[in-house]
Amino acid sequence: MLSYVLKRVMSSVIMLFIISVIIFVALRMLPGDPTTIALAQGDGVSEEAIERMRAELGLDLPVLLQYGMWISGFVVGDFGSSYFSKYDVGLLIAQRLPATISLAVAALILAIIIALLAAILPLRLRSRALERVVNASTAFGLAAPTFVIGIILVLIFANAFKLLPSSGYVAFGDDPAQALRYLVLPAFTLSLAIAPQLVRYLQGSIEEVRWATFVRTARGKGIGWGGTVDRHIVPNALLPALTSLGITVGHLLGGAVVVEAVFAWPGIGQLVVDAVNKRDYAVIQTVVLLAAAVFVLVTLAVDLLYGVLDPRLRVSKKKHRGGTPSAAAPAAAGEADRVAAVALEKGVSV
Amino acid sequence: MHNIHTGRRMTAGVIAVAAALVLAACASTPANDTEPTGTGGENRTVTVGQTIGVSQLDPNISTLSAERVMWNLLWDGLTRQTEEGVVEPELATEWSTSDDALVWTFALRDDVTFHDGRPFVADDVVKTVTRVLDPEVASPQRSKLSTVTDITAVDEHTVEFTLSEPMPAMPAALVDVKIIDMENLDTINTTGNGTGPYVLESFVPDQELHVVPNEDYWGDVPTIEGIKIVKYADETAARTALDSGAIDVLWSVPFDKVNSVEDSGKTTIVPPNPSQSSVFLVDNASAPFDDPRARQALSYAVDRETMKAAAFGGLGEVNPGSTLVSPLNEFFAADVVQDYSYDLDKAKQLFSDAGVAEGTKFVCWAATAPQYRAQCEILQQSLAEIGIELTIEVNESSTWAARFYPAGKEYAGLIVPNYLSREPAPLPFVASYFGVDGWSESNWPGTPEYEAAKSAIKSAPDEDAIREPFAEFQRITSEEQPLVVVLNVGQPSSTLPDVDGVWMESNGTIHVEGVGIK
Repeated sequence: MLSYVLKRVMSSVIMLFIISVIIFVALRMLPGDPTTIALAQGDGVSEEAIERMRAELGLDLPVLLQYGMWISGFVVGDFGSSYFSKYDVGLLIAQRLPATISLAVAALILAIIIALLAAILPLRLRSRALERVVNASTAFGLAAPTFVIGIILVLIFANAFKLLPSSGYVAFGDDPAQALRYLVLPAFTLSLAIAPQLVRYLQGSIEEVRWATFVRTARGKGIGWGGTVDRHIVPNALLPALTSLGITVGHLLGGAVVVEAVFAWPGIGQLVVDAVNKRDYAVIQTVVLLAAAVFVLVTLAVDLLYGVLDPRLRVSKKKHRGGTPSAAAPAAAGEADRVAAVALEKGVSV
Repeated sequence: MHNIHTGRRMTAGVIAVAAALVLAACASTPANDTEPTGTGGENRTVTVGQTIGVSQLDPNISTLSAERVMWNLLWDGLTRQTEEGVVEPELATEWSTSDDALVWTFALRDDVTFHDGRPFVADDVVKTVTRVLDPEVASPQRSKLSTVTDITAVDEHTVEFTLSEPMPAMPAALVDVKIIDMENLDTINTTGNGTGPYVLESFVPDQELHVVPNEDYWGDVPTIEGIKIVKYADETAARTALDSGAIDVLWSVPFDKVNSVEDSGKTTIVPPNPSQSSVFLVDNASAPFDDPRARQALSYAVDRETMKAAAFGGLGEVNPGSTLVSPLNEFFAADVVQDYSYDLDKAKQLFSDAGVAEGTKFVCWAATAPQYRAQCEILQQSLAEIGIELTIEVNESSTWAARFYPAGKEYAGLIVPNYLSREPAPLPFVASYFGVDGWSESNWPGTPEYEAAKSAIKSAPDEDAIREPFAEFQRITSEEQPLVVVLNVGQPSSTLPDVDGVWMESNGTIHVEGVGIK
C-alpha cells in the first residue's frame, strides 16, 4: 500500500512539473507581454521606455532563469506580484478565493442533490416516463453551454420576476442572508452545468449494481423494492460514482470561469481571464498551476480513499497475489447475475 | 446501519442547505446597493459597469481608458475641465504667466488635505509633476508637458513652472495630471490616498473598486452612499445587468447596441464635440504605404457612410477630409482638406501609381470589438472590387496591440482599424502626435512644413492665432494621410433613467464624481 501511495504521489509531482513547464512556455509563445498593455498604448511611450520596463520586470532575462526564479518561489509560497496592481499574487488569490469556494461548494451540493434525485427517483418509482425526462434533460444539460443556462436564468429570475439579483457578490461575513441571495443564481447555474455528468455516472453505477446477486438475494428475502433501492442499490452505487469526483472538480473549475463571467462573480476564474488578456504572467502561472494542483490532489485523494473505503478492493488485492485474475470472469458473472435478477423480478425460478 | 444513519444525516444536511438557498431566494428584503433599481432611494450606492476593469489606482501611469473613471473620484488636479469644455481651477485657485510666457505661477488652495489627513502643499505638486516628467516612469501625461524644464515650490501654496517655449494651453495640459501622495507611492493601490471627493473603501484589482464620500472634501461632499466600479466579463453580461437594474451606469456601450439600449428606456450619454476617431492605421515607413499615394488610395477605398451605418449604428460624423479634426469642430478647415469620399476609380488609379498591382494582398488586423470586424468586412468588399485581396484576422487585444505598438514598429502589409482618443482643437496636443517626437503608430516622419505648423500651434498665444496653423495642420495631414480617418464618434455610455450628473469629456473620459439620483 505504501509503495502504491508513494508511486501515485510521485506521478502527481511529475505531472505538476510538466504542467508548470507547459504553462510557462505557452505564455511566452503568445504575442505581447505585460508591457504591451501597461505601457505601449500610452501617449508618447517609446520603445526605450518599454525595454526599461521589461528589464525592471525581469522579462529580459533568459527564459530558463525566469522559470527557475518563478518555480523556486512557488515552491516556498512566494508567488510574485501582479505586473499591474503590484499586489502579491497570493493576496490577489486570497481576495478572490472566498467567492470561488462559496460558489463551488454551493454548486457541488446542489449538483449532488439534483443528481441523486434524477438518478434515483425514476428507479425508485419504476417510472419509464420519468427516466426518459431525466435522460432528455441530461442530454440538454450536457449540450447547452453554461453561459446560455446562466443568461436564461437571469432573464427569468432577475429581469422578468425580479426575485434575485442578476449579478454581484456579497461576502458571507458581511451579510449571510444577502450572500445567499446573490449566490443562488450563480450556484444553480454551475450546478446545472456539472449535474448532468454526475447523473450519468450515477445511472451507470446504479445500472451495474441493480443486477448484482446481493440485490437478488435481498429481493428473495422479501425486502420491498423501495427498501432494496434505499439500502442495497444506492449505497453500493455511490461508491463507484465517487471516482468521478476528481473529474467533477475539473468541470467545476472550468464551469466556474464561465459562471463568474456571466454573474460578475469576483472569483479566481475572472482573475485568470483578465490576467491572460493582459499577459500578467505571474498571476496566470500561479493560478493555473494551483488549479492544476487542486485537480491532481483531489484525484489522488479519491484514488487513495477508494481503496480504503471499498473493502472488496483490499480483499481482491490479497486474492490477486495468488494468481492472475481473469478479465472475462467478472463480466460473465455480471451477465449471469443480470439474467437471474430479471428472472427474479419477473417471478421466474432460475 | 451506521452507513444508513450517516446517509440520512447527509440527506438532512443537504436538504437544510437547499432550504436555506430557497428561503434566501424568496426573501423580500432588498439585497444591497446593486439591487434592482426602481426601489432605491436618493442615497444608494451607484454602480458603474465596465467590461474592462480597473487594474491599478495610479492615475499618472494609467493607460487604459477604462481606468479614467477613477481619476476624478480619488484624485484632483491643479485644473479641471467642465462639462462645457472650459478649463477652470481645482487645487489651484488662480494662475499667471510671465511677460515672455515662459514662467507659469499657480496659487494653490490652502484648505485641502489628503484622505489620511495630511495637508496638501506645493511640494506635493513638485514631486508629482517631476515624476510625470521622468522618462523612466513613462507617464502618458508627459508628452503634454514636454516643454516644462523646471518646477519649484515658491512657498507652501505656490508653484512655478518654467517652460522652454511658450505654451498657452498649460492649464489644459495639467487637467489630467492628478496630484498623488508621493510620500506613500508604494501603497497607492491599497490606500488610494488622494485629495479627491471620494475615499477608497475597497479595491479588488480588475474586479471592483468601491469608494465612499470624502467627508472632509474641500469642495461639495457627494450626497450618495458611494460608487462601485464593477467589471463585467463581456458586453452581454453588462447589458443584462443594466437591464435588470443591477448597475446604474454602463460605460462604453457597443455602437451597434446603442439603439436597443435607448429603446429599453435608458439614457444615452455621448461626448459633446467628440474628438475620438475611428481610423485605419498603416505603416508609413514600409512599402507600399510609405508612398502617400497608396495611403490616399486607401482613403478613397474606405466607404465611410456604409461603415457609419453598419459598424457604428449610424452614430458619429463621417470625416471625408480624413484628419483628426472633426467636421463639427469649430476649428475644422473645410476649404483646405481633401475630399476622400468613396471613389474606387480614384483608389484604383492611385494604388496603380504607387505600384500596388491587382492581386496584391493585405491583412486587416482587427481587435475583437464588433465594429472593427464590420469595418474590415466592408473594406474587404471594396478592395475586392479593384482587385486587391484583404484577409481579416481578429485577435484578442494583447496579440492585436503587440503587432504595431509602440510607434516605430514595422507592420508592413497590415491595415489596422483602431479608435483614437485625442484632445480636440484648439488644444494643441493633437499636433504633437505626428512627426518628430510624435508617438503615432503610423510611423509618419513628418515634413519641415508640418513641424513648422506644429510649433506654431503649440506656441500660439490665443485662439485666433491658433486657427491658421491648425488649418495648415489639417491641410498637410489630409494630403499626406498618415492615417485614414473614417469618422469622429464618441464612445457612448448609458444610465438608468433616474441617474443624473454623469457626463463625458470630448476624449471619452466619463465623469461620475457628481452622480446623483433624481
